[in-house]
Amino acid sequence: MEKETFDDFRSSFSYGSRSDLLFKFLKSGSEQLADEFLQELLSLTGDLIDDGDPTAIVEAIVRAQTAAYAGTDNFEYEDKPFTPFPKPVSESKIALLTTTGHFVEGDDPNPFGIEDLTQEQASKMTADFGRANPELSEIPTSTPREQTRVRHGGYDIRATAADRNVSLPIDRLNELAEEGVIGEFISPAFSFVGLASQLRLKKQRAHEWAEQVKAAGAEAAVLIPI
Amino acid sequence: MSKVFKDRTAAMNPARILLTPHPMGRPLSAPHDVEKQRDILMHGLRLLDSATEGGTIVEYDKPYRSGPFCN
Repeated sequence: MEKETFDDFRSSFSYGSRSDLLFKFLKSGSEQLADEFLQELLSLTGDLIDDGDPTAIVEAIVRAQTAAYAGTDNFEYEDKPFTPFPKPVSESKIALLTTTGHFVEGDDPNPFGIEDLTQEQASKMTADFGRANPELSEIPTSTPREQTRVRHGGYDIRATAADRNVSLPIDRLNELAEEGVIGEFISPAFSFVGLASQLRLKKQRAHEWAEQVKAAGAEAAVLIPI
Repeated sequence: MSKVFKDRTAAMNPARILLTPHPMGRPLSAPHDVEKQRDILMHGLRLLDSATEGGTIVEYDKPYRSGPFCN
């Protein structure tokens, strides 16, 4: 059996034998970053045993993820669009669009024609998703929580599967509309799998979807990338 | 959104950005942290009025709170 190197080990968390989407960043950063993070994680876990406070562990994960994903990659744009918003939010119609991969039970977009694709299967098809034309799911804002589904092979969905408002805050925006904090929460909300062809998204889908959201009556939109 | 992707998000020049100090996949909060979800949405909505130019970035400074919270 071939001896596993530390580089093999850290890389295995990114869609490998130890795949864990919360810690896949171990491959994206440097070996030194992975080494230092794991040492810190073990030390903080020792503290957690005695003080019961995971705050320092969460902060260490965020620091390491931020360092691993530092840099602009290919995401630099020259233009800087801005539209002043003249109306009070309390009189405005607000839409919600996320890249989180939520959809309504019974309305699965069935990527690649596959029915009932699981999260585990999706996480093994990231290259296919990365080339695919993204599909927009419509989620009526009256959709009961238990009828909301999420699938996205690019991130750890455990938190938002437990509570959609972690990244699809339908319940909170409904409450803000009922209280008059916002004028209206536009139905449906929209979601797609952000792990998709960025070129197709930029050249085609983004324009189509902006028109769709405007046609629904939205005057502003809360956009939540994952 | 999570500040994990601050560099690439800022480079895209969205009109208004609220960054949260949360792990990837948890942009608003831990599950069922209703108070935090609401507070973050309110901070984001305020940017509609307060931002005066594209690429405005505000960092939400309250830490991520781990649960469990009441469901």
